[in-house]
Amino acid sequence: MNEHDLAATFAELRTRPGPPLALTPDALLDAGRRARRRRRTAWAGGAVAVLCGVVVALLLALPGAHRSPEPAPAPPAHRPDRSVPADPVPTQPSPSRSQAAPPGVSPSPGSPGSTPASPTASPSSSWGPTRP
Amino acid sequence: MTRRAERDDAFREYVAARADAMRFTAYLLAGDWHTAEDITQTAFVKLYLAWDRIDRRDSVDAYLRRIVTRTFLNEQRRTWRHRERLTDAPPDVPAAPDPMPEQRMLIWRALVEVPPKQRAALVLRYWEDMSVAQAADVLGCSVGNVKSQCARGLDTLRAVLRRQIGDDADRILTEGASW
Repeated sequence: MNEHDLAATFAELRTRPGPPLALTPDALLDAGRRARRRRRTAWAGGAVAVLCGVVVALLLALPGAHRSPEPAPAPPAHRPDRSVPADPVPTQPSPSRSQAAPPGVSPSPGSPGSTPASPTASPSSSWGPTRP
Repeated sequence: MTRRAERDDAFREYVAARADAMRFTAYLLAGDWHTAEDITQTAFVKLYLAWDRIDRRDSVDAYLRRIVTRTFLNEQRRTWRHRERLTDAPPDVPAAPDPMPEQRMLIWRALVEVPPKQRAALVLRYWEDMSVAQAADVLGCSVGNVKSQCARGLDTLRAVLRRQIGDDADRILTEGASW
């Protein structure tokens, strides 16, 4: 048996009547239109899904871009080391702040005699308004 | 007449002219009329979707043959994956409804047992009368692969014939050589 026998077999089969063709041109046309509609719907659905994904991603990404950075910790206030006196020569003790403050305004508790953190701060801003 | 109506009319005309021939090619590939009709329908629907991109009639024929062949091969892969069951019983062979010369009937029955890709190569080469290069284009493989598929297909066909008809194989095949 060779390829010629095979071709003759195919030709013989072709001469035999087959079952009637159930496919009609109109039915195939309808099936094609349905397939085209399905394909377009799928494309549109995919596009909407991608668009939603992009919008969600943008919404998640944008607040992060505009968020203010965490405030850096303030540097420790520079306080003079009181354990070692800057001036070895003892001077006359100055009146304490509680004594210098006007009556009715008390310094913060537990810090008698301590200097304010900022030497430039005025007493009124540090200690509140004075009584007239 | 709108462009869409013109396109549909052209498609309808083409289906009326070519559906029967394509169904027969699918029948040679699949081995039964029912599957052949399913393959043909799938192929024409795919053709409709691509109709606007194809302008010449010979291109349409080539495109449709390619769709039919690849749809058949894809279906075979899918059904093999889903339906293959190991069994010790011999496979069923479709019965021929009409009388046919004995040798050709034997060849047709044996062809059903040839693996799908080899069968597709044989049908494209010896029924559609394609060149090796055209068959390679349709099957999506190299020219050498088509040649080997055809040679293996014929070998498989001979082996199946020998298995089916046993001791008479040599006599029938020898007689068949003088058809």
